[in-house]
Amino acid sequence: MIARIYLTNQTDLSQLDTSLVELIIARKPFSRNPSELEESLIKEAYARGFKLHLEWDALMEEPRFRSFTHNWSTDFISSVRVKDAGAALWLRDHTTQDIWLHLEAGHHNQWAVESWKQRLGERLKGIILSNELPQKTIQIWSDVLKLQTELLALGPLLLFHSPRKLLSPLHQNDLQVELQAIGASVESPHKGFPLLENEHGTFMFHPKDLALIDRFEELASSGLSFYRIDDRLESMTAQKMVRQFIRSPQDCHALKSEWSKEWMRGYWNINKSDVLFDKLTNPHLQKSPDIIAEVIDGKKSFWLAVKVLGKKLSVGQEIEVVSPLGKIKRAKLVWMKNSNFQDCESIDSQEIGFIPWVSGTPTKSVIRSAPEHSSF
Amino acid sequence: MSQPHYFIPELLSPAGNLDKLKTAILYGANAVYCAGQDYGLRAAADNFTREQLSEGVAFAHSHGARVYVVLNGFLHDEDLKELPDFISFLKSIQVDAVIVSDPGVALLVEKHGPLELHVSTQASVLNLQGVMAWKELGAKRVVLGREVTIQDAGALGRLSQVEMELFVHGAMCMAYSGHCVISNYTQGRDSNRGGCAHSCRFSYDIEFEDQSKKVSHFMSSKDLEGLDALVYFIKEGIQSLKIEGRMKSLLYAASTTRIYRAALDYWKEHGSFEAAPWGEWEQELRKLPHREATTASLLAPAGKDSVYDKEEHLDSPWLMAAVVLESNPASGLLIDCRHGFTPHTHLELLPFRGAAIRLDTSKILAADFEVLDKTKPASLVRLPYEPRALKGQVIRLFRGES
Repeated sequence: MIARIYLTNQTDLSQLDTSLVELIIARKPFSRNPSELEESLIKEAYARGFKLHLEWDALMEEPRFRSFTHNWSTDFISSVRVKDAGAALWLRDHTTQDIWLHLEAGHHNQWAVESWKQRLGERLKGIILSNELPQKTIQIWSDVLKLQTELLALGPLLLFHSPRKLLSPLHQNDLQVELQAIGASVESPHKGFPLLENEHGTFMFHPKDLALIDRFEELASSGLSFYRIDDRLESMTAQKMVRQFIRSPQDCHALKSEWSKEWMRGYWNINKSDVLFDKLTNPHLQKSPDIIAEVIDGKKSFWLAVKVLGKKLSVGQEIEVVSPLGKIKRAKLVWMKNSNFQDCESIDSQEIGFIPWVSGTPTKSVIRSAPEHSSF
Repeated sequence: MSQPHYFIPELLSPAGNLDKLKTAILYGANAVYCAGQDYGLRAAADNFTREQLSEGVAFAHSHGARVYVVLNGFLHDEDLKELPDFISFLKSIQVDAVIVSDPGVALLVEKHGPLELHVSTQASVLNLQGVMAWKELGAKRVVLGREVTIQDAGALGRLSQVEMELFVHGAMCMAYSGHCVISNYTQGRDSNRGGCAHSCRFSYDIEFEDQSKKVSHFMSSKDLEGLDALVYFIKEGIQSLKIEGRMKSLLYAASTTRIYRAALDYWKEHGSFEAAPWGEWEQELRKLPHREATTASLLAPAGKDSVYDKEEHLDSPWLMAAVVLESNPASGLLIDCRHGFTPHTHLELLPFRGAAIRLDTSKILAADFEVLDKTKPASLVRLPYEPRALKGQVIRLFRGES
């Protein structure tokens, strides 16, 4: 497993080993979070034998897309790390570089990756995996996808990206090229969201950095080809520790204590971000095929008004009424009235009518046929 | 002499449940979009069962309208197990299209459908190459990212020969759609599988590097209102105009559809908006709970005036009051009451076409004809007969200016 780090003007190339590290070039206008970078440093890195990868994770509307791709120049670059589907297609059709797909949001299923493999063919060299994929999934994918893979193993976790400039209107110097701030909300369980505004819009990051390097053995055994460390916001001391770690990936306690933010593991162990959904809906009110009517009004001790959803309701029929809390009451329809409150023998589908009162069955209760042999 | 034919876009309305689907269609939607129990982005919505989808499609087709089913979650491997069966089901009931954002889902739709494929705004398609990438996957239509101007959308459509759909009205994500995972990492709810916690609407204390501080709802967007821009949508040949809001009320579905329908019909008849009753249409839209309006990026990239830096005050002096269930000269109007009211309350019936009609509320009866001195929500009520009232029409209540 090889490390990938960002090349910046502070990078001391002599401290890095080409067999252990590849370099990411994040520069304007293609990177949404560009680094200051001298052209001479890129040439030097290339001359030293480093593999260089251009980051194109900025999203671009048509006018910007056209203007930036018009002057495309990728000297020294071995691959482009691309996020936008259109940019990937453009690279396929107009360049010769290898393509790495940046799949950080979405692409959480093998079919999604397969669709890209079909379209990009041999040009697709690898994928940058979403950090929402747990280790178990990454292991499975590594076996079946037949692609190189990369995962963020230490660095800021992007939560939000808007093309709109949201910070400068709040700052007295609204002409600054880049603004940084910290945000907190009483409505959020977390505090201290790093905020950034630049030419690509506004970004919000998680208060803690994603860190998986303290489980390096697990990372390595997951089948990943590359692990990425983004230490661009860290002190020189922390960056030196990162270089040491890359050379000898063992204990990282010292690095953790030097790192500017706390660490978190995100979804590495398990992703249960869909388990709360069941609580957002009332299972007792879910409209299942066996529901034949719903209660739309009631007059205590006298009647329930119902709208028939399924087949017609008829006098003599035995029913179950299920309340929104899940309580089930059984009843027999000994009489019935139509919507004009006149006696009738049945109420047709989509019609409104009245049946005898059943206690504990408020509006929104649902009605289904009582199972045979049930007792009343 | 025959009337000239003017192009008018499809009006696409939200259908959070079967009632809203029928309401939107009755009020003039050419198409509606809705979700099954899974695979969409509104886990808390009153989504459709298979039976309701069948009924909804049959209802829509009988009224000449189309139904698009959203499958636009960013799905994980385990979510896909039952998707092929659901796709086959959608094909069997003749759903008109599915809306996807995940290329894996698109592949499965091709394999197990096929069904007409629309690309969700969630995919953030922003440029010609992006449209072409999805065209390669079989997309017939792309719902462009909300960052794309109408003018650019028109050009993308002409160059790609793919249908273009744009949002015309409703609440907006501030982020590039599909690129916000705040809920995922702060609330444990996957925003891209239906669990968005709307963290962008929160108030934030912001401290800049120079220690200056501000308190702001800086990530909250004003609501999109593209009524004024309709002429540009039409002239650029945008095929479909989408109203956001599957989670919103029946009154919202009825009112927004009704007003945009009226505007599009006006164009159809006149080929111009020169003498159009803009004030009346805008006033009607203002009667819905709403944030301040913006045209966002429809005409030019959204600026700082597109931020809704306020607490969420979505009140309106008008409320959803009831739906007409039956209209009978002998027994009057039978209505499904959603908000309590007393005799002589100002109620207005929203006809499917034309101006609102004030209803006679001098006498209110219960379903069993007992005289009431006030109604309660979720009850059946009878009002004096109104000959212009039809089943399915929505009634709103004026509660006075707050």
